[in-house]
Amino acid sequence: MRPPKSLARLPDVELDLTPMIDCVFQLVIFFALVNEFSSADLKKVVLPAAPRSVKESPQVEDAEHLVVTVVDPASPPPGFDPARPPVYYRGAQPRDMRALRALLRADADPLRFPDETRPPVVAASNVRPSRRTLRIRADRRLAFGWVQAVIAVAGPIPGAPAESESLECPLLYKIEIAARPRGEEVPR
Amino acid sequence: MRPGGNLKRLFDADASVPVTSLIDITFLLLVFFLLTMKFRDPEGRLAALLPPERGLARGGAPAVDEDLVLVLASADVPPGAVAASRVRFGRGRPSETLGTLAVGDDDAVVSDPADALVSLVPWLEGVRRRAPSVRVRLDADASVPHAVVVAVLDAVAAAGIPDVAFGGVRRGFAAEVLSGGTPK
Repeated sequence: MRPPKSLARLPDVELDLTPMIDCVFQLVIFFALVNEFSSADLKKVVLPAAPRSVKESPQVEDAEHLVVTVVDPASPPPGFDPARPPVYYRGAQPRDMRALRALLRADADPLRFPDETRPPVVAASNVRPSRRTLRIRADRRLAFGWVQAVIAVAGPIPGAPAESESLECPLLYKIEIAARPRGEEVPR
Repeated sequence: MRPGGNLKRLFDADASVPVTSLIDITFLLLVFFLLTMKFRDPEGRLAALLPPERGLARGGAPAVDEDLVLVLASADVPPGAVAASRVRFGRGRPSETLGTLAVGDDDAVVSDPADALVSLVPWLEGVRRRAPSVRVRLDADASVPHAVVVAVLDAVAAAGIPDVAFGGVRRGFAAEVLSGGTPK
């Protein structure tokens, strides 16, 4: 059937797609940036409450932080291996605390990120503590011992030979304890 | 100079970029991100340091005089108590007991018998007024609940003392943990 004459006289209609593509691209970029991919390896834990803790955007901070999550073995996440420490780093449970220490050393890398405000750990060497921060996310029900263990392996071991420690120790002095700031309800 | 030959034909051709497939893919991406998006919960942080004496040169040295050492030690749970755990906190070793804290099942740190944690903040503020550069060292037993340690860290932050360090790990603790032992 041919269209009626009045319709045939209509001018060619062109849809200007440029502004729509602009907007869609803006949206895609927004969602790609704010998405939680970077924290996919962070295990869910119920953090302890601390109303005066400093509330900051973790997305911004994580580049400078080494995030260790300590879960409660009594309520473990899926895939939890009870033969390993209840500690997650880079989304996985290290084989043991020695393996965690090696991973932290590789990422803290005091030779690449030296804290110039602190003196060298061995007088004869130029190895300074790392300027990166260790952030510990621990479940509120957990005994403090595992948090102490993470702190202990992140720093120098008292009495250990200084030369080997300057090569193996993560030399992380700055520690942050993650908490639920004011107004955050206990997740059920 | 005007283009000629092949170039002229190229310029004269009606060139248009097919955007349909581009829009298809872009919309697919948009829908994917919309469906998978989840904002991450903002978390608070309490800053602390390793004790300054925990260096390689002077491992295990005692705290210096100007440090205020807060000790958190597990206390006996009285019969019939609703609390999951009780913690005695005091100053230095041997400690002057400042109070006991109890941790409820609902995460709240309940003070007992008086509101010890609330009274800790003005006490710490008094210490800071007398010694503005005071440093706090927190010695906690491995069995103390993490929530209690955080509650005390929070009280220290509320008192305006920025310099907090963890200490109190007995000699050999790190070596035990590194050799596969459970921290206790």
